[in-house]
Amino acid sequence: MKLPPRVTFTAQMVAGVWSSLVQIATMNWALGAIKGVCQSDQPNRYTCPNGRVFFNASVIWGVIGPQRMFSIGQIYSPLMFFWLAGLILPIVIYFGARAFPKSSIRYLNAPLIFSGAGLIPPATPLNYLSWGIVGFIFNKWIRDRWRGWWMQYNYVLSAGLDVGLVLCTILIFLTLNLTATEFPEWWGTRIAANTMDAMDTAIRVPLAEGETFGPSSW
Amino acid sequence: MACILTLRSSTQMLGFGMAGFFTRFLVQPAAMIWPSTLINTALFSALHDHTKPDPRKVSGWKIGRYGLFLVSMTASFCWYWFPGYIAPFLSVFAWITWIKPNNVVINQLFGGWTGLSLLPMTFDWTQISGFNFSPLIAPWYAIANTLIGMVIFFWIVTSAIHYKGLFYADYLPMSDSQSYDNTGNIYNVSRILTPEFTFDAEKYKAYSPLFLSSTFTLCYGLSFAGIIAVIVHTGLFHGSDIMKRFRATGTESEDVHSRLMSRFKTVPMWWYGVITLIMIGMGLGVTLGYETHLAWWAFFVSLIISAFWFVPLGIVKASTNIDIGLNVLTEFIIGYMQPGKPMAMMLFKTYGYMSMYQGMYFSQDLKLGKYSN
Repeated sequence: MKLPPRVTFTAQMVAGVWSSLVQIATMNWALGAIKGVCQSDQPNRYTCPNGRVFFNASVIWGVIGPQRMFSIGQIYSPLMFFWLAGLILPIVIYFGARAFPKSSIRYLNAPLIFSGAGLIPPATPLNYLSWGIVGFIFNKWIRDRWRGWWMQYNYVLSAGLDVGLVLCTILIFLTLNLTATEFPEWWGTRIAANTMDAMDTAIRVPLAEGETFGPSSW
Repeated sequence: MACILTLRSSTQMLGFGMAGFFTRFLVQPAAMIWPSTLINTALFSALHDHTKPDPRKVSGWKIGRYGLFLVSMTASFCWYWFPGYIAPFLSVFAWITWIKPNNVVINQLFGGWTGLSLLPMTFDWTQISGFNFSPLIAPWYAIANTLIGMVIFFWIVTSAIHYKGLFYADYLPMSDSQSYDNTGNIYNVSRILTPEFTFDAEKYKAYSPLFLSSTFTLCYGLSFAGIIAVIVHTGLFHGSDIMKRFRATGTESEDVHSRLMSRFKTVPMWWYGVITLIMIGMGLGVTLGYETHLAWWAFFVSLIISAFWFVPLGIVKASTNIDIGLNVLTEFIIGYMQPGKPMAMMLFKTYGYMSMYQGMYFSQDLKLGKYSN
């Protein structure tokens, strides 16, 4: 069974319009019905972290603007050389792969080298390295050795892991997070929460009250 | 209310129009795999096909695909209670930081929340699949390239920047997405705003410039490089193929899926054209009809950006399942074009980046329609 393109078109069209309506209705309901919504002390944790980040980024970038960050003479102006790097690396790879057609240069991909891990921060190297290690095990090691197994099971295994996680996340959210039920405190909840890493306080030169750093004029 | 509704649907439907126009480049070619649709098709067929496999072909396993799906789903569901609720230390298993919770350098190097994770350990599928989707989807060469970039830039270059103290890194964290002022506190935007929410130069001079953590700083540079690299890369490696498809219209006999699809009537281009025109009208209505500060020509610039990068970024997504965003580029361009106007920036980013991002999912679904069996 193949889906006729016109059916796909209509389904997407309807779904697109309908989801706009539902999303906006939900948002308006939430803004009206939830007490203190999007305040940082909302009791059920409806604190709108994503909206907050989007707003902050827009205000910061819209107000201060790239010219006060990246233009010549500003703190972050050396980063402008990356435009050049983005221009050069794919050309080097292209001609490198032509000059050495048997080498593995041809597998290099400049956009992925620069932007494959582009969500750091807020992602951390942990996210990409663990993703890469599991990916190596399944899509390289197992795929090379047990191709039949991989063809049969790899994708349904992936779907199973994802679906189980999503169902559990939703259940935990609806039953425990919304009612602000914390798991009783024990070694396992404390040990990882009280490091400088988790509290975002690992700074080599902490400033005393009233001290400043940085350029003297800007 | 009407404003949000128009904004929301015009963003999405503009993406839909673009997906339609670029079907020839992103959906029809057999090389455009859209790996995550393979997961869907595998799952759909497993839900209907409850036969047992031939154990000789699958290394002696006897379980069917549907069975394996149920087992892995149940296991994943049960396990997540531990990292997700009962034992959160399993999520970021940075055990070296537990031994020395107050050693700055150890926390910066081995931390998994705001550090570099030199010993990456986790027992939590959210950490593994949270940003580039499930690692079982992306092909190995895409994973390898991402790891190469990750190690070079976020281990080597970031450590060099941070411990050399470039960009005032001595006073800032290694890796977080906050913006700081020159006392090391979170940047307080309200201190540089006029009552009309625009930039106040006097107040800015009196307050502080903006500072970023080392990875956040580098992240901007890498965005610049990636967004140019994807254009140059596409031109060099896919340029002749794109030109060929651009000239040849309506030839669609590439793989078995395409041949099977050829018995259906295609969607005429003008359907997409009409939608796009209506949505451009609606978008222009939002831009000019409300106090958005966005100029009409800037609205068109945002559409050009999203259309220009649609195919290059679509090729990356369709062959590797990795998203590269236009967020930094759009912020950057509008920041120079219409400085000091946060509302204009939000709108420009929505039309320049989100419309392309939404359209990508429409392309993916078109491919899913093609694969379905």
